[in-house]
Amino acid sequence: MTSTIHDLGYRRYDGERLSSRAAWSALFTHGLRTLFGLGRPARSKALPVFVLIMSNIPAYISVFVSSETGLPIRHAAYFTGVSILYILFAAAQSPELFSRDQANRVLPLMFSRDLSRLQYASARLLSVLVAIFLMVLIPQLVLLLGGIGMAADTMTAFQERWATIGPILAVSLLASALLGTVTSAIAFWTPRRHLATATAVGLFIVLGAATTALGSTSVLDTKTAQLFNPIVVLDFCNRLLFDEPSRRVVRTIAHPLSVYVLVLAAYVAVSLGAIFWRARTVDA
Amino acid sequence: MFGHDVVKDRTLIRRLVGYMPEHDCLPPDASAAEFVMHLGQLSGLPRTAARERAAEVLRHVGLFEERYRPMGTYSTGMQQRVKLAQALVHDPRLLVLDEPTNGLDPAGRDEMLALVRRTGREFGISVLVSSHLLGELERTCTSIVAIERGALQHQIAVDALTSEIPQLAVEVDGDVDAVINTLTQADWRVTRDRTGFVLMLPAGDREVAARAADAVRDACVAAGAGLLRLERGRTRLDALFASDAEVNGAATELGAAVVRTPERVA
Repeated sequence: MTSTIHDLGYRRYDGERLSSRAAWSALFTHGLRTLFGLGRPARSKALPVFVLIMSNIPAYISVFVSSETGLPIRHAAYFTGVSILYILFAAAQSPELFSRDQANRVLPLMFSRDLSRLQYASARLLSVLVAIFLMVLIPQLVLLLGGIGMAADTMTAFQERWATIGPILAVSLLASALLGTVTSAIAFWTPRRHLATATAVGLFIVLGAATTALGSTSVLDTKTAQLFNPIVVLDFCNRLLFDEPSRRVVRTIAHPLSVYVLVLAAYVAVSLGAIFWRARTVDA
Repeated sequence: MFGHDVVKDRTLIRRLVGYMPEHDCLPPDASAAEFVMHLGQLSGLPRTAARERAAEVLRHVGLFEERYRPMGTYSTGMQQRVKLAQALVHDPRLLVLDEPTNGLDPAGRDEMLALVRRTGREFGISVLVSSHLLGELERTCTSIVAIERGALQHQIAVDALTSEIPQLAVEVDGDVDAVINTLTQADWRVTRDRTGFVLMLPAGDREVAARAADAVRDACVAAGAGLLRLERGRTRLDALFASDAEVNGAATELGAAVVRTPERVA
């Protein structure tokens, strides 16, 4: 590095200036890229790539086994099977945006531009939601399209199974809404990235343990206690939405789908409240 | 501000203002090119225009190939330049710089100040610098404003402040009291200060100053003292602020901020 500041003149900019919507979408796109480690050093790509590969391997195995044995492909249990990976992804990547921006102190630079605090929070949150949505969606699509592609009669298989796309989109939406808002809220309130990740993972573990503990005492019956564990609730949503006959009975579903969706909505609402409250009060 | 309502035209005003914070604000694993471009986009520039502008302002502040390296590897001087570049990327009309020379060595400090000065004088961008280094402000800026709790307290041109004042500062080696005595008897007004004494001139013109200098010389000769220093008084900013602080007494933080206003903007 030479220690001279070169004088090459300064040129004015009189080109186009876009609306603050454009700034918002630039922030959204940049956030989405950041979550997958794109345009960032290799070590930032490690976790998203790991989760992407690990969460897809069972799908490929499933498709392969199905094509060899003719057993039907099942979607309902897939999310629960790899849910720990999604929790890891959400807990690790939401702080990449919300905590990092605070730790690096770039918020003043953003808030002094065409972005309001609300726009900042919404763009960041949407990046997280879309990233998790894609993560949950991709293996389900592999199951669906793989099953269709491997079938002897592709056209018939397509007609029979294509309707599954509805439940697939629905569970991806529910999962991303829950994991995305909860981890974003924690990350926004925790400028230290690793602490935010640990807190988010811890929260899901504690909720699971609390459910078991409550269910085993006489305080609440198991059916009610299970409502507190969002991952179990998501599992129920999956099974109700896909409506597949289960090979083994894990947990009995005690409530209709609407109850479970309401429970998830409550988690999302509280998290959204926390996010937008933080957006208004965070020090820039 | 620039004829716009601060509350109603918030977005518009944000386009006209570039802000360089005092604290570190650079993500260590992003490159300067990428970071400045992203912030350009957040200021409403289209993607390609933001990329071009980013390259241009980084070159302007003296960053070339380094701009593709992660900013965590930059020296403080380079980081300060990136901070300046990100404030310039959307071509603002007013630049607000908070302690731009923080953490720089003397050479880097001079270069940064030269850059700030040029940005103000040649590119038609008004610059508001906040600094506790009054000497730097004196060298760089055209006027001083003191802002306290969001309200403008004083605005004075630096030239007016640091111009000559009708005083002679004198320092002698020997019997100071004798010299002062002689001068007082000759009807000169004299006050002692830390290093010597100050002779108050009744008028600011050259002839009076020359007569006063002669009187000091004669007094020194008479008292057998050596004359070490004899110069016309100049106000300095720090002296001014020292007296200002006394006047304001309980004034909280007296920000020393300076505006340069090129004619066409004013």
